[in-house]
Amino acid sequence: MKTVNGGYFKRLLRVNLSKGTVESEIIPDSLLHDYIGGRGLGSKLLFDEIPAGTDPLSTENILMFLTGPLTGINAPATNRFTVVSKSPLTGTVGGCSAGGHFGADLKSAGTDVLLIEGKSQSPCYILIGNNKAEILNATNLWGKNTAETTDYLLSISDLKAGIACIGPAGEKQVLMATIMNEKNHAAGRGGLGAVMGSKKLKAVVVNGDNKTPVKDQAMVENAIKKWRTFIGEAPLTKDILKEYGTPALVKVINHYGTFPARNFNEGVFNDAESISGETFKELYFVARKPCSGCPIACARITQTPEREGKGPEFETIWSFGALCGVNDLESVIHANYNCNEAGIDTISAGNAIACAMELSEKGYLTSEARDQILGLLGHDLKFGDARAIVRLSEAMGKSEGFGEILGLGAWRMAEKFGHPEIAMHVKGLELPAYDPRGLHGMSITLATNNRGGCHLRSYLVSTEALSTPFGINRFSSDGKAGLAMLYQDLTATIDSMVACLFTSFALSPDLYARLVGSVMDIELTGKDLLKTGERIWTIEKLFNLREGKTRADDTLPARLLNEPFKSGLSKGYKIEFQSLLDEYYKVRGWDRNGIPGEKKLAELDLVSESSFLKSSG
Amino acid sequence: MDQNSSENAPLVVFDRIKLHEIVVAFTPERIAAFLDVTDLKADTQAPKISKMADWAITFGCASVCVNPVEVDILPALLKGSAVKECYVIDFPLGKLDIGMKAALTTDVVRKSHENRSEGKGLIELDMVINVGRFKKDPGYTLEEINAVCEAAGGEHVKVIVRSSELTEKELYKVSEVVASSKAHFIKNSTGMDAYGATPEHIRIMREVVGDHIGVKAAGGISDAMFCMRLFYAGASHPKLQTPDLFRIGTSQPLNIMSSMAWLLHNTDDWIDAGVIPCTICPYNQTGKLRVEIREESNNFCRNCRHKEFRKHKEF
Repeated sequence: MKTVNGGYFKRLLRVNLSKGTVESEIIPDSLLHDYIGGRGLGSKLLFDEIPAGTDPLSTENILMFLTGPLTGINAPATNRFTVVSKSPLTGTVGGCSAGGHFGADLKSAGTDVLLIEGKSQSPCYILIGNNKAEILNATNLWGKNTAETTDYLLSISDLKAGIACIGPAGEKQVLMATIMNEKNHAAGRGGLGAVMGSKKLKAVVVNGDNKTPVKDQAMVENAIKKWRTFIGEAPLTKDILKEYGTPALVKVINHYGTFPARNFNEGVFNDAESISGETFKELYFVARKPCSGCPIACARITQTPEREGKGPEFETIWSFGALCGVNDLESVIHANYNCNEAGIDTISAGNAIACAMELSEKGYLTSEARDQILGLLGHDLKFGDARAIVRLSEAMGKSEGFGEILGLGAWRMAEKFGHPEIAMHVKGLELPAYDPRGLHGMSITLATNNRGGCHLRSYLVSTEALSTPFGINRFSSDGKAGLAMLYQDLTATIDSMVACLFTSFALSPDLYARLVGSVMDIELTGKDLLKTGERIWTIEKLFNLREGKTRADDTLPARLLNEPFKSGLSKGYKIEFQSLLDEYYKVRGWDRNGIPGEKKLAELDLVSESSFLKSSG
Repeated sequence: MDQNSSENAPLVVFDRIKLHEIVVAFTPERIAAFLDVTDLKADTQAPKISKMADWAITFGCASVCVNPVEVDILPALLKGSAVKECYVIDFPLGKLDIGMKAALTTDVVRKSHENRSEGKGLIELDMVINVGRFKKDPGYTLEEINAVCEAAGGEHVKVIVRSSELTEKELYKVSEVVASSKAHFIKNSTGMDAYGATPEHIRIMREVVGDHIGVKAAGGISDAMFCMRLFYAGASHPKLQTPDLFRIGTSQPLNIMSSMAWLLHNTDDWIDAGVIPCTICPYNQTGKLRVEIREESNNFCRNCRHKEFRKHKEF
């Protein structure tokens, strides 16, 4: 008997926008026990609720906002939430974790999961107060950016309310549209904002005064104290992220020669100093603005002579900076503000622009596209053009002219121009700021990522470049298949409890298990937790297999596999990728096509979920 | 055997089975018992000392290692626990004369006993030798070690030899001197030297002192895998794996415990993933060294089977 006695109200609100109905459902204990919550629960529900082949932007797709057992219990870095849906950018399972305080507000509204189905006839928003929800008219908000939308909704509801909304990009179903909360926190990757836009759902407003229930408060407090102690003393969470925020990584990753520059043609950006965390702090930092209840405090309010906002984060500085060959940090900051206001994923946006820059420099663009660019910029697109990243990010938000083409994402755009090899992506999701040619473990974890080219589902950079929990040989493939699995499975649980990934710089699997176990009142060791993570990873894999993904999708762009760097500290190293992929499948108990074996599926209690494998042969 | 032959490369590669055996013999709780929780910085203040004492008591660490001035607060913080006080003597340069070293030791021991009032055996002294004098006259070193041991009145003395400032031959020699003295431990570094602990130096020290005195590794030790490699080098046999015979000095005890827990998941993968050999080799660390030591290091590198990694000095 799987019982859960804390961390949840066990309440799922099902909102059907086609019918205009709201129903409250009880979440079974067994689901919470086996999938924890957040991403894990969302992935399982997604698998169960939508059939294979569902168009992500159709009425049949669902969109979920989920909390975890740790949401609202006052543990550090845990007041986050997760959004899960089928990604329109990748066609895979899509899920994002976001900071801010929306997660805590959703929980305090007495709701663990908000599941949205159907499609509204006209723009609407959902208002959730203590245990009840309403669907309200948002026609007057359609077309407004995320900041305007947030300000308006705060003014007519409660100033303390949590608001998640889309901007013009989501409304226009741009495939890399985000869902923003507190104006600047993004559920960023995979275009879930477009799903929200397809449902004509402009925003979700949440507020309430419910407290997350726990059975043994003293035990929970004790486990939280331990978290605080370890997070308070780990070098990355105690000093570095607090001092510089995530931009601290610019110089570190560049130093190792793993900082992709000019659309992954180089691994070192010679102007890294001008976009570094130090420069960022000296010239544009205004104040720290931590997520709710977070002692790490990595988020920053920034200001330029013309504008004020939040961020950018390291990945954004990289994507608009080094990846586009741009060394003007102020332009990067403005491009970031543009994306936040429009609701666009900055990693995908910078990647798409860098891809377009290379297509342009190589003469692969059509004359029509070239004319569109000339109309926007007055000249051809080239690496290093700081003005271009600002103008193009704006155009992407409006989905106008060449901006509309960029909004397709790097992969679709490069395909459109007949040169898919120029797009740096996995499964359609643009790659992050860590070049696997100098971080060989990242090669396998990026390639096998269920949501595509994303670093946040298994941050092996932590050990390969940041020596946390300890350093390993970044040029070797030895042991990396197993470590990729370890990080993937653990991260699946961190996203499911729902905690910030940065806590893993300080906490071991066992410390996570202790807190989650005490909150949910279940027996849980670090090993048990990792097994749950494996189940979550596998249900996501099954979702993708059911969608027709194969071994061929678990790969990297040819450039990364075949062209070693010619300079920098990662010069000359080549990834032995296919043997590493074979090893990874073996470690996971999958066959050489990446299909989970019967024994493994039985071990994870996923036999019925995998029945389609037999029928599809 | 020729010290420079590839067969005699420094200890930078580890037998996976042997290392595995060492790793699985530990838990976060067990490794804590080997840690001297250390902060010897110039600007350390009372709240930090208090925090260190709290960690050491909570997690069962071996000692709290501080500068002698803290003897007015540390004994009270540790009173009632089994955690030892550890004071550094003539830190970090070791340039006081023998009489001053002894006098300082006597004073610290007396004050500790007065303030803690729990009798003997709860205090340790980590003394720094005069490396300059040692290079000319190892007998001087034996004399100063024994003088401090006498002054300590039976309390345990660890001898910091500042191995980064010694040639390999000198490291062998100084280890012999410590082994023949009344000291209870040999320790490689102050943590403020040209470089800190390396498995190779810990291996040499253990090779010379045998199993009748302890070896303490210190300097830059902040994670469990590093600790395991040091155990491999200096305490691979289970009988040496006691806090009386092996110790780790660290300012990062929590990180070590947390990473120990990580290491127990996918242990073999972590071991297989290895480390870039030069990053843990004493002969790679040439930046701040005297010419004769730098030349010796370069000579080792030229003949080392791992020299391809030296293409990039910073990896």
